[in-house]
Amino acid sequence: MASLTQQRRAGAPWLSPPSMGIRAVKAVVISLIVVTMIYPLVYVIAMSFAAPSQARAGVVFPTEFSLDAYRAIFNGGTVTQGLTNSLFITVVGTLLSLAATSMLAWGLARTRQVPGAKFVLVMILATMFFSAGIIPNFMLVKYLGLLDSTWSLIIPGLISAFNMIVIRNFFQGLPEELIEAARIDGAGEWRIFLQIVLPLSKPVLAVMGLFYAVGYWNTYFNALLYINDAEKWPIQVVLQQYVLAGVQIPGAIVSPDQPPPPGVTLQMAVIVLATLPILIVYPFLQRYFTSGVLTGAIKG
Amino acid sequence: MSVKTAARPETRTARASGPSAASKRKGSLLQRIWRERWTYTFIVPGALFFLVFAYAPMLGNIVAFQQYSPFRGFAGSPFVGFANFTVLFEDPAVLQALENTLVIAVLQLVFAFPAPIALALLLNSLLSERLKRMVQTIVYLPYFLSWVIVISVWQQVLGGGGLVAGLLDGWGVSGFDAMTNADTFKLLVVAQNIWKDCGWGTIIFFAAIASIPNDRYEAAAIDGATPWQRTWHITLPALVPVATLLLILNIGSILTVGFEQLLLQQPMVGSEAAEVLDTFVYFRGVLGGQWGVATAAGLLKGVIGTILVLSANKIAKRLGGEGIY
Amino acid sequence: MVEFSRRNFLGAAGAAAAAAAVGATAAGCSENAGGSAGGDYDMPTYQPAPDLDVQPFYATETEGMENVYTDYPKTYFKSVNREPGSGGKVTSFQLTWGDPSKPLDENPYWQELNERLGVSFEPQFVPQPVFDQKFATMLASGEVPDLVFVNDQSAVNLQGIRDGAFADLSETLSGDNILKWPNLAARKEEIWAASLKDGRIYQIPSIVWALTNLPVMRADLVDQTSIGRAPKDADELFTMLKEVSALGTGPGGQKVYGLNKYDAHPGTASMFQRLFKTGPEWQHNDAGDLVHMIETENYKLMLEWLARAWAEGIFDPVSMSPTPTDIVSGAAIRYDAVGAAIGAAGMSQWEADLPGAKFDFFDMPGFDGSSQLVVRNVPYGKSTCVSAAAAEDEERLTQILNVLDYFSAPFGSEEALFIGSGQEGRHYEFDEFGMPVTNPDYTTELGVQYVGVSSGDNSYRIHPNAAPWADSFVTVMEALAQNSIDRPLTGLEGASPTFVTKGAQLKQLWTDFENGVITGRESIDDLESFVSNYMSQGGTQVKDEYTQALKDAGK
Repeated sequence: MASLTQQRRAGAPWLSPPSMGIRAVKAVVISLIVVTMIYPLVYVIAMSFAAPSQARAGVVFPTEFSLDAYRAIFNGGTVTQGLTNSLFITVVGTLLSLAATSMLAWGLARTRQVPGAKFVLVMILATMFFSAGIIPNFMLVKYLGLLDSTWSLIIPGLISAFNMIVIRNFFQGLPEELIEAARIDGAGEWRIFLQIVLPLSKPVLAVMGLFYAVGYWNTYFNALLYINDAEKWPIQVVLQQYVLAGVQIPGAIVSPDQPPPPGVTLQMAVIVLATLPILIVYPFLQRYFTSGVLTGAIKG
Repeated sequence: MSVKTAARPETRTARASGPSAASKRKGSLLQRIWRERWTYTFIVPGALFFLVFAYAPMLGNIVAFQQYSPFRGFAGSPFVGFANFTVLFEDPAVLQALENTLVIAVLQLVFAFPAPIALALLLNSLLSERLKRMVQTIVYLPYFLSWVIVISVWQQVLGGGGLVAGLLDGWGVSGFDAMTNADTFKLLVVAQNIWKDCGWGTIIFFAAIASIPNDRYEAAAIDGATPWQRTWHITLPALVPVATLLLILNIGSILTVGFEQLLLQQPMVGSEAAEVLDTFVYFRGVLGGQWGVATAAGLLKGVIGTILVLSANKIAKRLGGEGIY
Repeated sequence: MVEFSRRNFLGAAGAAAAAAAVGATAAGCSENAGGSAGGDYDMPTYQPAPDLDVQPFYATETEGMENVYTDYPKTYFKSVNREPGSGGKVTSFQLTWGDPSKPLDENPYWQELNERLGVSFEPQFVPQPVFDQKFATMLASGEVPDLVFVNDQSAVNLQGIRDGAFADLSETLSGDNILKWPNLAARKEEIWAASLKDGRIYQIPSIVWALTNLPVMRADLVDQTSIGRAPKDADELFTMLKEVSALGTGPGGQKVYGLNKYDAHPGTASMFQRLFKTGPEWQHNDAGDLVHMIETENYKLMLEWLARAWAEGIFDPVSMSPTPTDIVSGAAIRYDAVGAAIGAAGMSQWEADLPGAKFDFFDMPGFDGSSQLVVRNVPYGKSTCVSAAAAEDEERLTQILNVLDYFSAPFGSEEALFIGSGQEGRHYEFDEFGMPVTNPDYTTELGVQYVGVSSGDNSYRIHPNAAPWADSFVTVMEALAQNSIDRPLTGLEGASPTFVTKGAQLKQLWTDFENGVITGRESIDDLESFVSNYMSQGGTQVKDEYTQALKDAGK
């Protein structure tokens, strides 16, 4: 695969560079897009480092910087615990989700041949548009004894109907002859799935893995509902608590103590911290969906 | 499936009639089930999952017909028939909310839906792999910002005291404020959506592009196809199945438009422009403690969504495409 | 829930029919009580907290005003003389913010708290953003913790009280019975009276200031105007604000406006309501009928003034932004929280952050040259309820109330110092003013503290940093208090089921229109049609229900 990329970049004979005019237009359009997308992020990062006095006085762009917000966040020591929890939820959750989702997607890929598969598919589809509401979901988690357990953040969301359907859609696009050939050779469904289907589906699995991982990483609301033990809180909950600490709570006793860093910087620091891990992981997954992978699969 | 349609029409035929081996040996239902026994090992665990985690809690929707109180519970709350639905139908605010929801949803489908496809194609046309990756990484970043931040950033650029207003002021045009203009608010909502989610949305299309064998481009190029032609005849068709899929699913959730985004901006433009079904339910159901009414609204939305998806699927199939099932 | 609250509020005929909804039923008049099923009770006896060992900077008897202290107590009194509990556990459902608490085994604060209480205190921390949702799931699960933090302005919370999740404490706390718990007893009768639900005591209210916000001016800007610091009426104020906007920029190159924030009541809007003497949201007109503020002439005058102010550039264009961080300009007049202004990071910090700026409290005039009209807050804040199930066992109830009594220790007591600041040497040190200064390294251990049942002395305590403004603070606050009135509906807010379920929506409708008129999106001429729309969408029902409730209460 790497060699393919190489080949493409090096300018395979069939890829001649476009004309200057088109290139100029593209360059302008892409620069515009990049600037509009990146401006707020630069702002967020800068504000997260703003000196408290500047944040309180409300400058348009900070010129004095401090690490107060980050210091405040890391001071408690709960951030490390939160990171560990989130890492567990994200890694374990994503792996389990991918396994469960792709299994089901493969099982439902051939609705025509498998009696009942279409019924199951439609029933799953329908769940996308109905929600059960907070209370019934809470009761279910409680009956299953998952309250206050990290698993309550993984198991109820193990398979997303949307992701399952997208994966199924890709499975259906796999070269039929390859699978048929294996079937004729006497390979069982499981062997076909593990040895042919999954290896051919790396791009979609990478994407869905990313979707799941981001979802698990951002777990917030359910964690608030299901987890009482602060030791088990994922990072998002921990971080949001710091943002709360920066705002005045109505009806609370006014503390005569030192002021916390202003809410703005904390909020921005929280965003930076909460997004950072995804920024780090992304490039590793990215390579799976930027170049063709199927070439040669059939010939070989 | 159209991925193959483009390149290998023969597989499509094979597919339409099912794998040839299977179609020849069509037997009784029991025989067919027995033949696919291994397939069921894939289906049953997942189906059970949905039964437990989606369908079991959905029994809680019974409260749509109750005057539900959490402490009294499902058993202790009185049944009120369709009274909660009547509340919905009789409130003039619901009609307004429905109208706003639909207008925003249609604008989304027209503008926000195709945006990631266009962006994916544009980025894909970049020759430098490094540049492509860099731009890709940048455009998906806004997806991770919360709506509070997104709106406050937009306020700084397009608001009354913002960047654009300042520029226009310098040219003698005063009073520019895109954030509080109720007339253009719905377009603003869609623009914000495009800005926030468009980059992230390209990811799924990149996966589709990645699945196209390179030799197909190669063959086309050798046949003398220009880059435009290659995009039109190879890349775009490869995106059709996943685009259709997303479109159908989007149509199903037409009654759900950005709750947080609208709730936050409602004070600036007024509820006449910004009240949607979900914000209505929030004010009445969550803040008002009327669980029954909120659930009734959710149930109605679900029924409508399901009907829409089934119809969209049928239409997609009739138009010759592949539906979801 | 609806039929329950709709039932006759104070036990007139017909109450029995609906009474089944909850064990307790209609009680008598709030003063001396006496219902049927719930049993007779008297209002809990008021026993003031011990005096502090420092003299107030300013002492007052004005209703709505509190004593002002600039000094901190030198010695701390012991508020409860009770043996610690004898084991067992007490659970709680409490609002939490900031750092989640360190677990018990690595938390000396929590360990000492348990020791002092004599029970194992097991709080369930409920982050503020999901408080209502968790409250609902808690009720649904049927496992109500012993002590529950309750916000009775929230429909979900109110529903829980009405449906019988919490114990009727009327008899337990009746009259002198409450003296078993001296800190619970350090609440004035008016606080109990205002927080009754259906005439019974279900909640132990916290005390709050009657006046929590006041106007603060940028003296450096205001001094540059032709009017100066003391405009006499709305016109002069208008001129003053307009001239500040005309300055363009102030110290440090900061953009300045007359006003830079507008948010609905109880936000900045309240400041203009004081100026235009619009009175409380629901009020009696001259004929003695209940009317909404929006139906009054004064409200219309206020809207006109604000719309003119907006049109003439007095407001920063981002004044209505929902995100406070957008507002970076300076304003001639702001509406600030008392606690923020007189706290450590208040006035002095604001001046330090922006060299050249001078802040001072601002005495708001009345629009017509008379004095302003201020509406006092409901006299109690968040409350605590006791689980009905746990209260069935009298011994257990006593134990739970003992714990609550400890948490409720008044300011100046040794217990309150421990609860609020922790252990000296670890969690705090006294500074040169005798103030406990927190050590940030260990603040996470304090996350377990239960707040929201404060009692006793409720003075305004000015931080030494803000001491230079003490005189000005007293003048402005005293003026506010002297021109303040109580709202007719105090203690009866929950008496309208329509308000409980549709209140948020009605509020939204109102805010929309108000903001619309001010920014010019809507016309003031549509006020009449807006009022009729408001009334038809539920306003009339609310009015009727309140009218009935007031009649039943004999007001």
